[in-house]
Amino acid sequence: MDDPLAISQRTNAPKTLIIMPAWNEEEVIASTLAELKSHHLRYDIAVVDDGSLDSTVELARQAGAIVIPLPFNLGVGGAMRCGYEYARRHGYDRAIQVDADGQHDPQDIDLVLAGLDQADISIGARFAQKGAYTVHGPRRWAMVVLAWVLSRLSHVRLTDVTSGFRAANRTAIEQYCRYYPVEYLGDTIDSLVMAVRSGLTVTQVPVEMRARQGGAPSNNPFKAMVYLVRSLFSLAIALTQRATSVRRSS
Amino acid sequence: MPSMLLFIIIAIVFLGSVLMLVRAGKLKERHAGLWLFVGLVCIVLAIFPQSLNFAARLVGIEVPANLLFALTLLLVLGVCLHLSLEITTLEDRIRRLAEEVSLASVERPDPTPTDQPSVTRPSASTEQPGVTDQPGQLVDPTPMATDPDGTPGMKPAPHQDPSATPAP
Repeated sequence: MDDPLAISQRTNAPKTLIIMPAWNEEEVIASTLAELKSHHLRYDIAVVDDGSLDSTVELARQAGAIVIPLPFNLGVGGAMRCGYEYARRHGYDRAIQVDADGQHDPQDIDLVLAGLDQADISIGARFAQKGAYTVHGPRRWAMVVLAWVLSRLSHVRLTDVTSGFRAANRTAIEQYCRYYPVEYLGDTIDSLVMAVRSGLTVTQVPVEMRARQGGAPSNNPFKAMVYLVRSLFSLAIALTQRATSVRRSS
Repeated sequence: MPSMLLFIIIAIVFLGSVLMLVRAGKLKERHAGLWLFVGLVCIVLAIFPQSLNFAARLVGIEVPANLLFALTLLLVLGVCLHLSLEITTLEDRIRRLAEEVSLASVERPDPTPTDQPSVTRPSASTEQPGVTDQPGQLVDPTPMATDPDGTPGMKPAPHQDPSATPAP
C-alpha cells in the first residue's frame, strides 16, 4: 500500500482516522456518529464492529462510516488492533480511538490529536483537572498505581493511563500493529507499557468525560477488585516482557 | 496373574484406539506420540510390575503405587499445560484470521484511487441502503477515493456528508 502514503505526502493535512470499536451499540452509535460528523468532516471514521448481534453495523453504514466487520467478538483490544492495522495499511498518519457510547466529546478530538505534536501517543486524560469524572475504591487504587508506574516509565506525568481516548501517530500505529495485546486491559496498559519501553513518547491532554448515553458503568465492588488484581498482573507481566524494537519513522 | 492380564489388555486396547484415531485422521501423529509412549509404559509395567518397585526404591518412595500416581498426575498436568499453550496459539491465529477477513471485506469495494475512479465515485455517492443487506458486500465509503486529487477542500467526499446518506 504505497499509494495512500504518496497521497498523504502530497497533501499537507495529515490523514486521520477515527477508530471506533463497537459491540452491540445500536442505542448510541447513530447519535455518536452523527455528532462526530458534524464536528469532523475531514476525518475518516472506521467503526470496528466487534461481532455485534444487533443493528450496529447497519446504523454505522447508514451514517457513512467505514465498517470493519469482525466475524465474532474479539474484545476491545482485538477490535482496536484491527483498526490500527486498517490505519497502517491505508497509510493514515494519525489514528484516534473514540468510544461508541458518546463518552468522548468530539470537541476534544482535535485537542487529543494536537498532543501528537509533542509525542507519539496522546492520551485524553479524565482526571487532569477538567470535568467531574471520579472513581472510588479498588478501581481508583488500580488507576493510581498504574498511572504512577507509567509516569515513571515514560518520564511524563500521566494521571489516567486506562483512558480509551487516545491518539497515535505513524510510529505508534506501527508499534501497535506489531504489539497490541488483545487480552484483558491489554488495549490500555499493556500496549502503553510496551510502546513506552520501545522508545515511544507519551503525552496527556486533559479532557472532559461525558456521561454514557447508553449502558451503565459498573460499580460492583467485586468487579472493581478483580479489575485491580488483573490490571496489576497485566502491568507486571508487561514490565517483564522483552521490548519489541520499533524503528523511528522520523 | 489375572490382574496382570487385565492391565495388559487395557494397555493394548488403549494403544490400539490411539492408533485407530491416528489412522482415521482424528488425532495428529504429533500429539499421538505422547499417548503411544504412555501406552507402551503401561504395557511394560503390566508385564514387569517389579520394575515399578525398582524405580520407587531408586527415588526413595516407599509405596511404589505412589510413584505411579505422582507420575500420572505430572503427566496429566503437563498435558493440560500443553493444551493451554496450543489453545493460545490457535486463538491468536483465529484472531489474525478474523482480522484479515474483516479487513479484506472492507477493502474489497475499495478502489485504488488511480485505477477506476469513474466506476467508484458514482457507486459511493448513490449509496443504496438495500445493497448493504448482504453480509459480504459492503458499501464502503471509499476512504481512499476522497484523496487522489490532493485538494482537501475541494473533495466531493460523498460519504462524509451526513445529510446525503440517509435520504433514499
